[in-house]
Amino acid sequence: MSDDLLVVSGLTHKYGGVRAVNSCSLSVRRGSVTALIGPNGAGKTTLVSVVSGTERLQSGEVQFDGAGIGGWPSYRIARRGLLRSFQLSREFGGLTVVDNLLVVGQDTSLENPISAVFQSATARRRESSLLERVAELLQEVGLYEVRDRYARELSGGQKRLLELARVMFAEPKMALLDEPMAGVNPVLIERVCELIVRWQHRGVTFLIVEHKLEVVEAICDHVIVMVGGSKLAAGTMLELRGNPEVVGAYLGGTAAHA
Amino acid sequence: MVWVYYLANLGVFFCGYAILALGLNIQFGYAGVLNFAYITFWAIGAYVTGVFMLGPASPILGETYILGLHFPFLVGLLAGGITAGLVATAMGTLILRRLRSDFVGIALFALSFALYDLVGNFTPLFNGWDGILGVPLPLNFFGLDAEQFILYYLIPSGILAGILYWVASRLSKSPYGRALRAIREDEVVAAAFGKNTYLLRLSALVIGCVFAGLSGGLMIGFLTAMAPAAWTNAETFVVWTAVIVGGMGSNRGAVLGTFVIVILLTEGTRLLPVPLELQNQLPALRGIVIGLILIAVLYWRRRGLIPEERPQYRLVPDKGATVRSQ
Amino acid sequence: MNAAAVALGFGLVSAAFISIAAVGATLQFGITNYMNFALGDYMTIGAYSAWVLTTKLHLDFWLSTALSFFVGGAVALLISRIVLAPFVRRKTPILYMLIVTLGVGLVITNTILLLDGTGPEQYPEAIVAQSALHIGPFVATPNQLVTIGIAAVVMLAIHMMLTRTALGKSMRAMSDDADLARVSGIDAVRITDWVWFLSGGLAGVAGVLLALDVGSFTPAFGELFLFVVFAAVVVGGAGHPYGAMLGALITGLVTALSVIFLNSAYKNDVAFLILLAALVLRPRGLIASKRAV
Repeated sequence: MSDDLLVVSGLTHKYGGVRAVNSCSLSVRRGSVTALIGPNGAGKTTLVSVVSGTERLQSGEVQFDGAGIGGWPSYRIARRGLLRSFQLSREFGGLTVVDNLLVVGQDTSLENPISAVFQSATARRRESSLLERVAELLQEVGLYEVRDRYARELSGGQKRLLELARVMFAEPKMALLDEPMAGVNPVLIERVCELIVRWQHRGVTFLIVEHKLEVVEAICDHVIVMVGGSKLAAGTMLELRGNPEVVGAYLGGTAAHA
Repeated sequence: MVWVYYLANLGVFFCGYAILALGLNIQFGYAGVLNFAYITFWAIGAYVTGVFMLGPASPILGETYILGLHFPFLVGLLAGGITAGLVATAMGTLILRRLRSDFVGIALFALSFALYDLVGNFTPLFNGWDGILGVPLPLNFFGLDAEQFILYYLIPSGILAGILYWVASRLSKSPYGRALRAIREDEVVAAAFGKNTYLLRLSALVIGCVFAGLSGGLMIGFLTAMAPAAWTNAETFVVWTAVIVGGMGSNRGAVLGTFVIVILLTEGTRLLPVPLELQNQLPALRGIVIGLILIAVLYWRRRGLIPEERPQYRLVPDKGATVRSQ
Repeated sequence: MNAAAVALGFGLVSAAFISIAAVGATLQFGITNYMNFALGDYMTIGAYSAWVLTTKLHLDFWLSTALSFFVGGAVALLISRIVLAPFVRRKTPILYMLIVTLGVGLVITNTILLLDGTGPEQYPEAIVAQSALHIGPFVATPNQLVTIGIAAVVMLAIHMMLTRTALGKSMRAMSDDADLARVSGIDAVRITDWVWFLSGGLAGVAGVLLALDVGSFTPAFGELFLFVVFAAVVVGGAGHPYGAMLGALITGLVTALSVIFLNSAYKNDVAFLILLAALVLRPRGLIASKRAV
């Protein structure tokens, strides 16, 4: 079992003529909470999109949990255990909060019309246990009170929490979180950090695109700096603060902060 | 006494159209698939059921059609539903994999006109523009005459409609239904969470088209005849309006929409005391009214009369037992 | 060999009126990002307007044809402003815009049905009854030659507009990247108005020429033909005017040539197969559409 859960090699991605990601190579250690930081436009979100299969891989290689997933459709990558959240919340607006979780936590084998018509006792039991987990998770993230609301009715901050809860409910091996703190009430940021660390202890590996360096300092064991579409440096925050290139490109006073 | 037969007639039509609305609701209400060729699948079901039940085509009468197996109604009905499903599968595999909704809509829209042209012009298939007629009365064990049969047919119509309503309900309140709705909400995200959106949408398309085919089979048993004039694109439109007005994503809405649009508006207006000159204009007026209602509903109350039911779950977080209530 | 030449000639005529409607449709799609399912009915409006102007007002037929451009354009513009714009303002998802356009089409068809009855109508004998000319291996009536001529002029005019005028350049910019265009100060509302006027007008003219070619027309005849126009649009790449011209040529010629092997009644079915093939094999079109399909 390799130490690195995710290995990206020479990934390049172009939009029209613009190279958003330029031969980027990085790796994420199993069990870590790794941060992906860098100025706006560095290609971080694009990287997340390509790795998760939301955008089709153009060139480069991606290895996840020992398998080459480059070119796989996103649903196949998801089933392998790699999930992502979105920078701008994309909740299932017309579904309730509970349904938003149920739909991602469901055993795929039950999502077919035959099972729907002939609902077996096993299926019912599975739904029951899922509902238990839903209740627990909603309480953990503080969305229990709004569980029956349609997701589109939630406030911006609540939607961010739902975005996060949804990824966690699906019990991924690895979660790619795209600016999970953006739009979250500062009071809750500490809560969310606690949750991420808790989930890390339950065995989830994280790659978090983040601008808030306090968060990075607090919970991330490893940091990757991305500038201009490729990896500039990687290490702990301490090491990076001592790296003049990194400071110049991002960490210095003139760096663009979200 | 004529009233009784008229109402029974209406009742059978109501069942047939309700099944249609339920099927479209599955395709569009749950899964967001734009089937602009919906009535064509109804026609496929009708024709196949018809040629299963009819005897071989009689050259003396100058008619030509395929098959002519003299099979019992239920076999024909099943065949009709299955054939509609197969055609849906064929189209679906070709177009649902990569195309966005506009183009799925265009492809199916085009299919409806292409099949209309084909069936009308290629007479060996279903006797062209004249169509097939003389389909024997289904399930006529008691040898009823035409009038009594109208009353009798309410029973099989109601049963079929009831069964399919139950099926649609089960589909809706299931992980499958939930997955379909997620895809409708945001296909990219649904895929990002492991849903095979292509297979799920394909299955919704096929199931909906099977509903349409079964409705067609049921109706040809009642109409005893079928010709292209009965399944023009405008008919697809009536069903769409029924589903949208009734409430997209809601089975009860689909049934209510059928009642409002098909029964009240279409059949009901036939009864209005209208001067003779206007009588001929009624179909056109109806068409205009239906079009305007559709646009108005989409603008002012897109969710329709009966909005999609909000599932309520009873969660008891700290205890073992959880119960789902609707 | 002669049959092929004759068929090709007819194909060119079909390509002519298909291209006129297709170019308008594709330009409109490029700007609004949804297909107009009422386009066929704008063609019907054109056909009927020319008929009314010619038979009731006794105008010259070709003048009526030109005027039908303005009728079609005006109707399309009005509908865009009154019916479609409110939905667009609310950011209605494309899924529903398509249904709205279908609704519009239904209202138009039935309004014509109400006003004139089921038809079919024809243009006056004097205009329609013509003897065919023999030009080399080709056979064509003067009307058909004029049709081809009109199409050529229209294509040229479109080309000039797109490359030489501010309007055309703005259209291309908006079609490529709507947000960027808006930020650069392009008046999206004005461009949208113009593109609807243009697509409605072109559809109107195409409708007249189609009716002339087919011989008679009914309230639904444009709708019955719409998917052939869509085929041309898709083959060429939705949103690409030059693609639409190419797509129309291919669609017109292939369907016409198919008559050699199949009964001419199936021409439209061949067009369907062309559409299907394009969607399955090359959904982005021959001139690749940048837009996601």
